[in-house]
Amino acid sequence: MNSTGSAELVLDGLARRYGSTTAVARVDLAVAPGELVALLGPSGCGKTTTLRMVAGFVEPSEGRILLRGRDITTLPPHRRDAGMVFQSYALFPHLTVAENIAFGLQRRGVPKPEVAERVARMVALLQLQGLEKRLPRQLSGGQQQRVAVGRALVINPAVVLLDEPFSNLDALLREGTRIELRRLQTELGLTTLFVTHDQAEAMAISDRIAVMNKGRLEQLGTPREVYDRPATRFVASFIGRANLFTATDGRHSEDGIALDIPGPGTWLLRPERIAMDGAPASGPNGAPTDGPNSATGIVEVVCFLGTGAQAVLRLPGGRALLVEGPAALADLKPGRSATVRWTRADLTLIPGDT
Amino acid sequence: MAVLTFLYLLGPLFVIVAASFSDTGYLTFPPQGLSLRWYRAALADARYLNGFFVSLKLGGTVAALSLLIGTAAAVALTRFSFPGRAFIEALFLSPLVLPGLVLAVALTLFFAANPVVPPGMPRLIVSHLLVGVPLVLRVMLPVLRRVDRSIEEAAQNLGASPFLAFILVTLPFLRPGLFAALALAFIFSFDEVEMALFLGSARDAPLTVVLYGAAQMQMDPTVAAVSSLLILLALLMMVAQQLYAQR
Amino acid sequence: MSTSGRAGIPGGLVAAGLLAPAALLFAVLFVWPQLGLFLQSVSQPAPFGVAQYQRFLGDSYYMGVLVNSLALGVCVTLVTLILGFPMAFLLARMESRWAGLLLLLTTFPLWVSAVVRSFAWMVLFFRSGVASRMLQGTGLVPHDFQLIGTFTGVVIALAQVLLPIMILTLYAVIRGIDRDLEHAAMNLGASPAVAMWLVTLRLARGGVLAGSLLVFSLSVSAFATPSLVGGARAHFMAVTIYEQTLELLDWPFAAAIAAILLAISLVVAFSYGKLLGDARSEVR
Repeated sequence: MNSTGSAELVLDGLARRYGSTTAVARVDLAVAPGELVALLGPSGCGKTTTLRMVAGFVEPSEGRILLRGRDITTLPPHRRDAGMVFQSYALFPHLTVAENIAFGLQRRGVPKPEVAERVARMVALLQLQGLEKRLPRQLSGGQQQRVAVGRALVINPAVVLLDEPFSNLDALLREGTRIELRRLQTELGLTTLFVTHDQAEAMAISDRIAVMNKGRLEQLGTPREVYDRPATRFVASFIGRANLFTATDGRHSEDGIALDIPGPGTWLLRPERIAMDGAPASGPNGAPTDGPNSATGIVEVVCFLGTGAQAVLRLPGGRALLVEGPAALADLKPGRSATVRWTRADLTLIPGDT
Repeated sequence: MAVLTFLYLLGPLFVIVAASFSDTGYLTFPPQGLSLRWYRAALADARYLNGFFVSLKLGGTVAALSLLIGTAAAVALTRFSFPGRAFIEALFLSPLVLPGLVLAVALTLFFAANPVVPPGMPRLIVSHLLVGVPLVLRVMLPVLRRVDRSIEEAAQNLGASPFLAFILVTLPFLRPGLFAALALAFIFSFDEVEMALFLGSARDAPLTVVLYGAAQMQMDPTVAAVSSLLILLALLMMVAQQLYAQR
Repeated sequence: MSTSGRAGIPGGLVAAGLLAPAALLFAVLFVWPQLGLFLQSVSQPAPFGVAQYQRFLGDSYYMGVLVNSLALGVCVTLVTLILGFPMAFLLARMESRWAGLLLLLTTFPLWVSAVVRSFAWMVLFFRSGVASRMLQGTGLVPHDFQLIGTFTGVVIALAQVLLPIMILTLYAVIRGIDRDLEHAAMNLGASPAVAMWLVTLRLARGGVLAGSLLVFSLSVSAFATPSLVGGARAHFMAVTIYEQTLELLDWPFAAAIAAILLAISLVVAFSYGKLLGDARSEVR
C-alpha cells in the first residue's frame, strides 16, 4: 500500500505557498488502485487546495503528482485523467442531464453510439431514468449531485476527485447518498480521493483517512487507527469526541484528577469508555471512590441521541467531562451528583504534538 | 396621481400617432378626419426612406462592432489582472457620463484637423462606437463577473481546453447579456441625434437628422407619420426583447 | 482561466489582444479629441490663453445662457423628482403581476428618439396645439400664445423626456431597501407613516440625490429638446455650442463653451458615482 510502484495516485512532497502563507506543507500520500482516501480537516486546512492541485487548477510550489506512474504535475487540467465532482456540482445549465453526462465522452472523441450506450448505463446505475432530457434547474439537489457524479464517472478516469460532495445535501439525504457512493465506488473499483470536513462521514466510508490541519498532514491511517490511536492532540479531538488529560507525572492530571497512568504526557479518554453508575460517592461494591480513574461531579447537561445518550459532568475543579452511554443515561437529572469510572486500558497516550 | 403621471409620460406619444392620421394639411390634435395619406407621403419621400436605411445600416454596424470590441474588452477586464486595470475600466466607461454634445464637438474639431476617417457613414460609425462600446461594456462586465467559474473548470476537467471550455460552456451563459447589449447599442445609434448632426454628411443623413430638420421647418403631418412609424418600431423592438428574455 | 499561463499562450498577450481594439478606439477618438478640444479652448491669445473663457464668462449674454441652462437643470430635476418618486415607490412596492408591465410602459419612451418625443411636444405647444389652446381658453394669456419658445415649455417637455430615467434610478434604490426594515421599525413601536419616514425615505436619500444629479446633468447639456421646443435660438448651452460650431464656425469659442459644459458634467458625475455607491452600501 505504501510502495510507489503499485500505487495509482502518488502525491510526492506536494506543497503550496502563497507568499509567506503556507496553504499546504509537504503532503506525501500514495493511493492504491481502488482505494478511497479521505482528506479530512477543518476549513482552511489545505485539503481543498491539495485536491485542486491534483486536478490541475492550482500549481504546486513544490513536489510531484504521479498518476498511474505518469508525472502529471505540469499537465493542464484538460489533459489529466482525474474526473472531478465539484462542491457546487457545476452542472452545465444549458445542457440536459444526458448532455451533461456525455460531455467528457465527447471531448475524448468517443463515437456517438458508444456515447449513448455509456450514458444510458450510467443513468441506470444512478437511478436517473426519465430525467435524461431535463435541465439542471429542473432537478432536485440530490438528483443534481448524482448527475455530477455520473458525469465524472462515465469517462472512467484513473482517479475520481470529490470536493465535499455531500455538503449541499440535507442531513437526511447525506447518509443514504454516502452509502450509495461507497457501494458504487467499490463495485466499479474506482480510485478515489475525497475532501470533507465531516469526520463521521470520512470514517464511515473511507479505506484510509488523511487528517490535515493548518496545511500539514497530521496522520494517515485507517479509520480505526485514526480513532483508536490518534497521533496528535488535534487528531484526537477532531475525530470522534474526546476527553484529554495532560499529566505531568504518573499520578495526576493537571486538573487534579487522579489517574493511574504509566507516565507523563497527553492522554485520551473516549467518552464511551467512561462508565457512569449514577450512585452516590460510596459506590455499589464498596469500590474505592475518588480513587484513580474515577471522578465525581455534578451532572450539567444531558442529551438524548436515540441510539444512546450524552452527559456533561462538571467536576469540582471546574473541568468538564463528556460521557457517552446507553439511552438510560438521559434519565439523569441535571444538578444531581454522579460518579464515573474507567480503567487504565481506556487511556491512550498521544505520541506527541509538533 | 399615478394615472396623471402616466398620462404625462405616454400622452405625447399618443398625440403624435393620433395627429398622423389627420386628414388636414397641417398638424392638429385632436385629428380631423382620418386618413393614411401622410403615411403614403412619408413612404414616398426619398429623404425619409434614405434616412431610414442609413439609420438601419448605421445602427446595425455600430451594434455589431460595439458588441465585438466591447465584449472582448470586458473579457480582458474580468479574466486577467494587470496594472492600471481599474483605470482602464473607468476610462472605457467614461463616455457614458459625458454629454453627447461635448463628444460631438470634440470629434468635429478633431476630424477637421485630422481626417483619418472618411466623412459620412464611416465617420458616423466610428463616432457612435465611442458610446456603443461603453454601453456594451456596462452590460457585459457584471454578466461576466457573475459567471460561475467552476463550470468552466468542470469542462476543463472533462477534457475541454480553456478556449473550448469558454466557447462551449460560458458563452451560452452570456447569451442573454450579449443580446441585451446588442439591442442597447443598436437603439442608441438609431435614436442618436447630436453626433449625427455634427458629423453626418448630406448624403449619409440618418433618419433622426432628417426628422430634426423637418420638424423645425415644417409642421406637417408627414413628420408625424414618420414619427409614428418610429414609435411603432420601438414598440416592436421592445416586445421582441421581452419575448426573448422570457424564453 | 487560472491556467492560461500553462496552456501555452501567455495570459498577458491574450489580454492585450482583447483590449487592443477598444484601446485604439479610445486613444484615437476619445483621448486625443478631448485633449484637442481643451487645447483649442485655450488657444487664444496664441499660444496659450484663456481669452475664450473670459469672453464667455465676461459677457452677460453668455452668462445668461449658462444661468438659463442651470435653471433648466434645477427646474427639470424638481419636476421629475416630484412626479417620479411616488411613481417609483408605487412600482417598487407593487406586488401584482401588473408591476412588470407598468415598469415596461414607464421605460418604453426611452426606446424612442428624443427628436420624436420633442416633436410631440411641439405639436402640443404650437399656437393651435391643445396645450396652448387650453391656456388661451383660461384667458390668462393672449389668444395667440404658444408654449413653443418659452422656458416653461422646454421644462415641461424635457421633464417628460427625462422622467423615465429618474423613475428607473429611484426604483432601483427603493427596490433594494429591505421591507423587513420597515416591519422591524413597526414591531418596535413606530406607526407605518413614521416607519416610512425614518427608515425607507432616509435610506432612499442617497438614491434621490443620485437620480437628481443624473437628471440635472442631462438637462444642462440637453440639445434636441431645448432646440426643438425652445426654438433654434434658444438660450441654452447646447444650442449655443451648436451655433458656434456649425453655423458661426468659431471653434475656439465653441471649444471653450464645451469645456465649461464638460467641467459641469464631470463635477456632477463624480458626485453621482460617489452618492450612488453610498446609497447602495447604506441600504445593504
